[in-house]
Amino acid sequence: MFPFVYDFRWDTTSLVFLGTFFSVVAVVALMVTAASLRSLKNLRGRKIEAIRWHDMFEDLPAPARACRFSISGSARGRVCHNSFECGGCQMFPHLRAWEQHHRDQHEEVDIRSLGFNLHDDRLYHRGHTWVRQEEDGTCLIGLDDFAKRLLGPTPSIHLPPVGSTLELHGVAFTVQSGISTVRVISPMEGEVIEIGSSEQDWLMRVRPAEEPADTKHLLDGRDARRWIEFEMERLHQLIENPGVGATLADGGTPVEDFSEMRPGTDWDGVLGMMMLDV
Amino acid sequence: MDSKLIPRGLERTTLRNFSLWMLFWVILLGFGLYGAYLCLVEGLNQTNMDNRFVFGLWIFLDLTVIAFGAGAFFTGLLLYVLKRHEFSAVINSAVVIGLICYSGAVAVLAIDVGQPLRAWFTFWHPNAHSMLTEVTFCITCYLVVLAIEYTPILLKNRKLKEIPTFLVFQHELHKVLPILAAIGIFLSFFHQGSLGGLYGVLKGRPFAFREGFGIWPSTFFLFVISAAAIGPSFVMLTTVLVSKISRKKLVKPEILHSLGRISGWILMAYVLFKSIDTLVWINRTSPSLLFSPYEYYNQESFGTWILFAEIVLLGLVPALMLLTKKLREHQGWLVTAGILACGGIALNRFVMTIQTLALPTLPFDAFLSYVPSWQEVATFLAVVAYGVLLYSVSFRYLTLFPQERDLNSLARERHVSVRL
Amino acid sequence: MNSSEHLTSQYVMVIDVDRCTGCGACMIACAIENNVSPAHPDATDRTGVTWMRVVKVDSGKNGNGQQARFLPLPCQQCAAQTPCVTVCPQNAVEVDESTGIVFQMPQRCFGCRYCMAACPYHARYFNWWDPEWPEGMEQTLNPDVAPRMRGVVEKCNFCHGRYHAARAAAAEEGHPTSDNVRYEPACAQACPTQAITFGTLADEESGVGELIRSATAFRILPKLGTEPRVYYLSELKWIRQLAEREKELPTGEEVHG
Repeated sequence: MFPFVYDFRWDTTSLVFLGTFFSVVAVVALMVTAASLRSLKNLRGRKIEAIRWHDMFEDLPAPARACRFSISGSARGRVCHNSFECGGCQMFPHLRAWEQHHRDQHEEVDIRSLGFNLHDDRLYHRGHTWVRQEEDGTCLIGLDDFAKRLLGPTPSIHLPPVGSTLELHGVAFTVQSGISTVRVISPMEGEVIEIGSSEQDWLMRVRPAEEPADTKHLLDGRDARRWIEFEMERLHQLIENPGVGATLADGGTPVEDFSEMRPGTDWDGVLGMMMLDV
Repeated sequence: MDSKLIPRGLERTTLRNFSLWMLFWVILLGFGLYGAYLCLVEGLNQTNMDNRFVFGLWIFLDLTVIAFGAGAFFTGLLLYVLKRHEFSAVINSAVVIGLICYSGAVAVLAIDVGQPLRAWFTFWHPNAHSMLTEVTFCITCYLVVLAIEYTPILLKNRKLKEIPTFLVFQHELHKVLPILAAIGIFLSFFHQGSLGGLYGVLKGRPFAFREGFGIWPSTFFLFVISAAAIGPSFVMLTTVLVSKISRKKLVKPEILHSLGRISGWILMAYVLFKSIDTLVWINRTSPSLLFSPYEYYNQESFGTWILFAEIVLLGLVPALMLLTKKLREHQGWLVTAGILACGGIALNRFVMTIQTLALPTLPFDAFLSYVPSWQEVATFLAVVAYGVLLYSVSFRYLTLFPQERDLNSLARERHVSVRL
Repeated sequence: MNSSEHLTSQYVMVIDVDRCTGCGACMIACAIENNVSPAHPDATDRTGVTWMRVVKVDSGKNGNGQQARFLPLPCQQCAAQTPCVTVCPQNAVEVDESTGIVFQMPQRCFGCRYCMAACPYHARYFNWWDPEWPEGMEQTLNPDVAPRMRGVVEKCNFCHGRYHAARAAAAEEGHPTSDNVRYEPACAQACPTQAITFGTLADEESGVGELIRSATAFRILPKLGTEPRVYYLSELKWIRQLAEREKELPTGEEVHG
């Protein structure tokens, strides 16, 4: 195999053969080494959350990855290619401009969608959190009404301590509901400066990493209405039971706890798919 | 109980049912390992091979499973080189099957040789002129590549990916997969071919000997083409089988039709080349060594029907079926065509190993027959059991079919009384 | 047959089929000389080790035309495109250029048996069992020949051990140690009818040069191109036809050797 081994052959066939073999081994070893070194770099450079989100995004089923413009009706059947980071999306400015142009500016927008509590002073994130920008530049973050009904009346929320850093699309906090644990995606980047009390609607006060905070990827009231309709449809499809034509609404208002409507469903799977944590 | 290990959003059977399923295969594995143990400890006299039948059931089945495992490299070719993104639906399953086929074949080879502990001699003192050296090197390299390709699938397990090192490592490995896939294609081309070349270079076996291009006999290329032909079909068949056993939809039907169509085209090309090769062999190659081809087929039970079966019944017929849209899009016919094609490839491997050795070259020796001993059969059953066990664990705890989440509802019960 | 295919220093064996009585003394002498162990109780004619194998051939006719002869088959020591040499994955078999002997290195063989599939003469044997000598019989072992273990391939090597012993003896006596030292393999020595002749083409006393040029000389399966070093002699046409697989016998002008 090597020239120092007794009876090594120096004919062309042997040299070509061994040369090819060593090249293949070298390439494979190089690939594995490169992957290992880059992994170490990522671990040290604290890119873990970003990698986790991007990897998981690929694993979400196509409906969960629908582009916001597809949901609002401006682009049909489009799937997000940028992990919901609208700020970095090349198509975003064009689609946004098109939407602004074609939307009826005077359309009366009823922001109460299907009986869910949606507020006009909040911006909503695809991970079912909302952000409210305060006058002092800080932002409040909370779980939206849809998520509350998914998680049931008594979820156990584990918030990060004051001083923690939130990364965009990293894990903001975890919620335990029954036997399931859900990691709620952070809608923004910043530092946690206050934790909300149980009477308040908000969970965390965050000082954004950049001021004013980047909110391109968040949905305003009008977008959120269509989005909630879309999410209800998605939820229906997940737990669809052919032949049973019931809905999750009780005479117009959605029930307080979705999980009670379909005993025997893989509720852990539903939570994962709806809260974008698979 | 192990629900936290199962990918989120996928339904798997109860742990009890799964354990019972696994228990059966573990018992079979145990029985098979006993047969293998006897062969290793007592010696190869535990088999029914002899000085004339130097290769038997093991080599025949090794060649067959390696041909079936070609689905791993071929799906990689379709996805990473030809950029046919729809095949990401089956690539993970194909990689697992490839890993099973190759590791199983290597394990059986380790038992088949008389002195397994000396296997490293082939690496230390390689004879580059021997086809078997080429096979050894290529298969070892490819097994390593498959193991590396399996790693990201494994590390993406729901619990394992919570470990940051694993999460980040599989992410980086994923980026280099196209290059690894390209290497896998290169290696596969050579070892599938060399396995054919093993027999095609044997001038001492005029039944198997073929002319060719350069140092490579025509059987080199025929084996590559037949492996490429059967790869997609085998991926399709295993997907259907797993789908039936698990009672889940795993891929969109168009993927299976697509695999069938690709298999059909390559199989048709193979039938064409094989026919030409057979004609050349009958009319020129064999007679030049003073062996009339007809004397190969006047033995009991090994008549010309074998040639007809290989090329027409199990070659041309499934190829035509796979190329006919109406048949291909009907699952029953698709599966039948796939099975026929697999049978044809297996028959080809059988002919090149068993029939080649049954026929004597020396005029004073007789045509012989051979029946495998139970130890040989047991050893191979161990490989099958190992394959099922590894695949079952992978299917339960890893995402082998990315489209599965899209295709199955999370509702469990069919009749639910709705509380309002 | 051109004798220029073999270097004059290389060994050649000539077996006279018409003299062979099928007694099998060559087989026994070979086994004893080369430390082949007694066959395992479960061994058959297909799993035993017989470096020299005597087969019975018959003319295939019935009645008056029925004839049978015995053909001793050692390794044919192929001189060209040696099938077993090209296929061995770890070069465990080589052709010694000086003597022409194809020798197997059992310590490197790992028992893949590819060489056995490649050999057209079915002249290679695998150790399916561990070799075992009954108590007391180990005293018959030949110290010049290494025994082989289970799981490796072996074959006739023209009694290579005797070749080395002859060379050593020649060196001791002060003779120039030429490659083509004269020696006799066990089979040739044991044959009661002296049907086996062995020597180099350069050595005129051995007579092999003349024998291979005779009209009755033939080799087995010459069309395969292996150029075996073992020649056979027989007056009988049917044996020559069988061995050469020629449909018609060539005329007298086409000389065999």
